Amino acid sequence: MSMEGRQVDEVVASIFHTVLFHRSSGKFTYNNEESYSIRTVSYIDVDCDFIDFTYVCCESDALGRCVKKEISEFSDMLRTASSCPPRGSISLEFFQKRRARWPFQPECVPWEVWTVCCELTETRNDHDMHSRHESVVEMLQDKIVHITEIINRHEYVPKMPSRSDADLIFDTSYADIQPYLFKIQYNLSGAPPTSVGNTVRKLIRDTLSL
Amino acid sequence: MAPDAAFSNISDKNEFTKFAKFLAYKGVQVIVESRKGVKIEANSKPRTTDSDWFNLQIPDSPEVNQATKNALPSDKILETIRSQLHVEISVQTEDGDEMVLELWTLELDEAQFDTSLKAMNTVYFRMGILLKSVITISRITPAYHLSRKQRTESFTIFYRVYNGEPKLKALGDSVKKIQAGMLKTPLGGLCFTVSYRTNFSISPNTSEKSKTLLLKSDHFELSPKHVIFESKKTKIIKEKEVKPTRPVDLNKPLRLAAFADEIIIQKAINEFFEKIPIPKFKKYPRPKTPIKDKAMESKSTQDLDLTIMSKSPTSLELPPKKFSGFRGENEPPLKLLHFPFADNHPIRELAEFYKDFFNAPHLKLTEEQHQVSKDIDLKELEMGSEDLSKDLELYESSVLEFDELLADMCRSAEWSGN
Repeated sequence: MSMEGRQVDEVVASIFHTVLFHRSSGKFTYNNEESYSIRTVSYIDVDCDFIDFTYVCCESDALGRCVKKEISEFSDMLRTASSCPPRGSISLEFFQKRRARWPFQPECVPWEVWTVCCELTETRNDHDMHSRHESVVEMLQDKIVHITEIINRHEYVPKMPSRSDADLIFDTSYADIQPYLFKIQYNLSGAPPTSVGNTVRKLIRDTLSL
Repeated sequence: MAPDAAFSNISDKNEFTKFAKFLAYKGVQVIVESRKGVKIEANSKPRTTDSDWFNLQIPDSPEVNQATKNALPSDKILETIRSQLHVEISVQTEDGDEMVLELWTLELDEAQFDTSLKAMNTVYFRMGILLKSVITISRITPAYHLSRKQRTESFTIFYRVYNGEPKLKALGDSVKKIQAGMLKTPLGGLCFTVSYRTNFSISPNTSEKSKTLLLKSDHFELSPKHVIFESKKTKIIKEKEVKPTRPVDLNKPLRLAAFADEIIIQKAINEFFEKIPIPKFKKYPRPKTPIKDKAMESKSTQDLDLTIMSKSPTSLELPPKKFSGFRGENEPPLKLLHFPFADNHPIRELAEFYKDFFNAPHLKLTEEQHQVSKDIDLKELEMGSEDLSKDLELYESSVLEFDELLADMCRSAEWSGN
């Protein structure tokens, strides 16, 4: 996906937040081991500054900060890259943990990975800038539709966990939202970042290459 | 077709029906919310209890719920969704020009069933995801950009909820369709789709194609200002075409001429009515309409759908009459979403006043007549002629009195002449 350097943060954020909005639930309150109630999720509109685009994301400062930090680091790295044109990719990976025997760490098994491949472009004049701007917006619209289409296929999501297993499925560290466990990874090679964990046992279902 | 015994027990089916009902209600709410032109910001919504449907903080506007309720009878939830439930979003300029921008549809497609999904909590959870997709998709269509500009431009976005056949022709020739996901259930696939116009030009009639003035379809520049400008040019043609079949609608308020003295005019009108009492039949909705026109109109409601109306999205099809008193029962009233420039401003009061009138219940008198007229237009016509003949009979029987009165007047005129 081609874009200007200043648009990277917003392009990636609009895709990742759209996915996270679908992949987050309200906080669980367990009444007992198996039974739970779910709190409400609020959402907000985010207007982009460098593209004519508005996306929806969960109303959670902490989640927003976490995602923003990762994307900013990627964006800075990409914009200072020496390759021509600068290329890089950033992934939002959902995983679940599997308990391992002591002394090993729990195993992380990815079940869904969304990758955005970015290529920076330079605009030569206003007309060029305008047409590229339009194409970025159109591309984003297509990707948002694509994301909703894939998520509504309901091919694989981890089962709702019991109280003792909740931390193996969900990130319970946020006070106001409960996303599935996720991590954001990036690199500048242009190839999708390799995932952690046992790659053989990966359950990558969908990769969204942009 | 979904199998008859899709759910193993009746309570599951009842629960599914209930979920589908709330999916429809909440779906309409999020669509309308997204077209209010208000950006949803952090802490902008009051914190609700944690018993929200689908665990989503979706508004619960009573007006929107009422509109949904009217289109979705509670005893026929699944049947209605099977035959499609629509939310139409349209824009109206300050000149009264209207353009339908998009049509959201909730449908239960029986061919897309999945009997493996039995757990009702999974159905519920997935309905929540479907709603999230609707929320997400609602931000990417051109109507969203237009809605957000309501505050700075002189136009208003309206919505209308109805069921049955979609009125897609109102979207013009160039339409794009997006499906916001499909949830396969044992009773069929539940899906929200949005069809939206990509051509933002106003064409008065398809036969006038050569005169169609293209406007910028580029949504960055999308603004009904262009529409206003261009539609003014085509207005004369439109009026010429429309007028012969259009009865004079006295339900619309008559506007005063510029600089007219309102008090004097009101006085004159009152005096007029004092001197000349209105005969009984005059109270009917369209008193100036000749009888033959009335007959034509009652027939034309369906004809227009197929012919005249389909030719021009801005002509007669589902006109957003601001002071409509006599909408067809298949035409739910348009709802005002937002008052431009009216935030924290004295004009807000005026806008509220306008809104009250816009959706005001019919006057008792007209309501009664409306109920009569709603049954069958012909009946109304008959009654109208009956009353007319009664009046005529009365006047005929009093013809001697009139003659005497006239003679009397002539005499007094002669007297004064002499």
